[in-house]
Amino acid sequence: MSATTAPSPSDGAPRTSARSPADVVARAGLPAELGELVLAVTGKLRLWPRERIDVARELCAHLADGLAEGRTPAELATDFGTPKDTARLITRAKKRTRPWWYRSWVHFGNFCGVLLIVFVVFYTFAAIRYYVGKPIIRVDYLAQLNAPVLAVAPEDRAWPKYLQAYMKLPVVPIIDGKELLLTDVQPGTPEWTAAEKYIRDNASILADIRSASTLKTSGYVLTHTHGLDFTKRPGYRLSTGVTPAKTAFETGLDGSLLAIPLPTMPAYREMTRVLACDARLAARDGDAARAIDNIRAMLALSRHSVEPTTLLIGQLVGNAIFVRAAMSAEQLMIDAPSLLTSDQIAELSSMIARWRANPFKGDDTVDTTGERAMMLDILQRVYTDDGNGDGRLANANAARWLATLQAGEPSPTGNNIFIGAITSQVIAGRAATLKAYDDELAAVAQRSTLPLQQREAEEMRSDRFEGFATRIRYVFAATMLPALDRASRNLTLAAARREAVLVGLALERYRLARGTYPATLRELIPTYISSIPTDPWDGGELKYAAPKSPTDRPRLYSVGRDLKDDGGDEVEVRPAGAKPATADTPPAHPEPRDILFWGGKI
Amino acid sequence: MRIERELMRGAGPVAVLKLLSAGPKYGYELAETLTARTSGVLDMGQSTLYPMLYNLEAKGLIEAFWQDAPQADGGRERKYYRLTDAGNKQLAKDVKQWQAVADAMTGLGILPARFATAICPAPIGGAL
Repeated sequence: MSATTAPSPSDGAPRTSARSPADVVARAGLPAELGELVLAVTGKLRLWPRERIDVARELCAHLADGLAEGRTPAELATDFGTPKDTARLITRAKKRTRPWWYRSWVHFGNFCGVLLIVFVVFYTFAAIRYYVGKPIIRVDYLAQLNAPVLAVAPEDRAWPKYLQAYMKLPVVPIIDGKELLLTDVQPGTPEWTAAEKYIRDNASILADIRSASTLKTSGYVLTHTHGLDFTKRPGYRLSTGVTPAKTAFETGLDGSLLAIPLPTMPAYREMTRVLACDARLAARDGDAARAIDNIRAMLALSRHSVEPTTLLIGQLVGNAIFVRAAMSAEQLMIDAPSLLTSDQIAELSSMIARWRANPFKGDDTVDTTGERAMMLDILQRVYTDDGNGDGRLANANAARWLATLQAGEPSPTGNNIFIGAITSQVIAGRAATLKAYDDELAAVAQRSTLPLQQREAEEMRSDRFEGFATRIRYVFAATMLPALDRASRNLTLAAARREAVLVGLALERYRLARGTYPATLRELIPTYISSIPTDPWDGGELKYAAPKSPTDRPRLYSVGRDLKDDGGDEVEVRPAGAKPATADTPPAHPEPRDILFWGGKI
Repeated sequence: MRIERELMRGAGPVAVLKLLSAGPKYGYELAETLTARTSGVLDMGQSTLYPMLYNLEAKGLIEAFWQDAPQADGGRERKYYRLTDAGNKQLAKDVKQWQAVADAMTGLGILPARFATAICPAPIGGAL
């Protein structure tokens, strides 16, 4: 070994211009066998090029030192070790000298690898649970909903007769490029002339509709494939707005209650418009009986739209039909103020007084029977059943259904198998989902007893499914819950309108008897009304504005959301730059200042 | 006598640190010195020596630098290793540990008494 002094370490490492281990070996001038040995080792190194060159230099230097000490190539080769083992050991050790960022990256990669393994294990477990479990459809909710309908004798069912008349009823004509809107025509216009012709040409069909409306119940039997084809109506065109109802398979909801089409709804709406128009025509014809009969038929249609399903959509359509009937009653008083006798007005009042938004319970609450049946039906189709009311999400269709429910249209490609297995572990179980759903129904029912302004504030405060994690966990409950609070408000306002219309008709009877309208509503008590109805917004009395001139009309109104009495002024206020609603600020959508129930623009 | 790999794993690094405590050395020099001063007991080939050096380097106990050898040695390039401050501290710690092991082995009668430190405890099982 050399006896010379050790070099100073401060001189820095000499650089090399070698580009590869072979370069290094060639320059080292070692005997062939030793050079091959170095190359055999460096060839097996799984290192960066720079590192391989460094190792080659060091090994060559070592061997050169050995040769300089008088050792033979064979001795040096023996001490070398096997190339494979040497390369493996050097690779492992050399990598430990790499900079911190590399090591961090390796650690991060290892961490990701571990995470991936954990994820694969988790996913395998989740997928097995998801796909092995099978839902059991135990209850036929469709049969349950149809049972009351089927209990009614066929001759007492209105729908078959409605259908017969409806299929004969031509679609409304196009006037000046626009579809004739029978409820928006004004006398003296071409539209009115067209509407009058349409009504008179189909007078017998209207009579059939009125006749059908006298029957006890709608009698429509819910089915997935009703086979009805409204395109066969005379003059049908796509713009009619009555689209053929989709079948279950089109909606992608495979046999569930959700997939049941309701062809009655558009039919009832259209028949209502026709009856409303004929009521106006009857007033002009001086035919009080026909006018009243049309309003009665509309009230019956309102009730029939709720009956088959107790679904919320039925109540909302029924509500809209009632509002039209109420407006027709007022229109009758405007068009022909002297047509009806006081007794006839009393008869009209009696019919309107009997109307209820929820005919099953005889009140104005939202009926959730049908909605809950839909929820239970969905649950039994996407969850397993452990026999104790609980189960786990286990249906390959669940993801597709969710996508369809949330998009509001069929999503056949929404069945993401990967996501289904993962989310099934996050989504709440069957019992927890149903409980969340029922809790929200109960909360809505409780809120519906509050005055509207308090109700809205309470709705904002109590978003049960607020937050992303909660919304995912209870996705079925959140998705299946209809806008119950909004529906509840609509029904409350419809009930308020009913009471206001009764007062309005009482005002007309007062006018017929006294020749003028009263100064206050108290003058109607007790002869015409028993009490002054409640304003649904502030809980006080319904507001009255007596006519200011002989041509003016009396107004009955609510103070509306702002709780300020604007004298029945209905001017809409659209808040500019309105921010999202909070518990302390009203919702950012346009509302009239006051809500006119009687005396406004029809 | 070649010693077992596990013993080499413990003895080899401290031996290298000790040699480097006397000044920087290159790889071949370290290998030859270890062989000569341990009578071949710590004889290690390149497949053992260089991975050990790289491990010590990765731990920051030694550091490497290239330097041309003196002309008398042919002026070839060599990679030298020197002890760092951390290496110094580790060496001191390792020496204490080895001394403690030697004391224990002495107490068991495995090593002769001359390997014990001045504060060697009484031999286990020996006469009081």
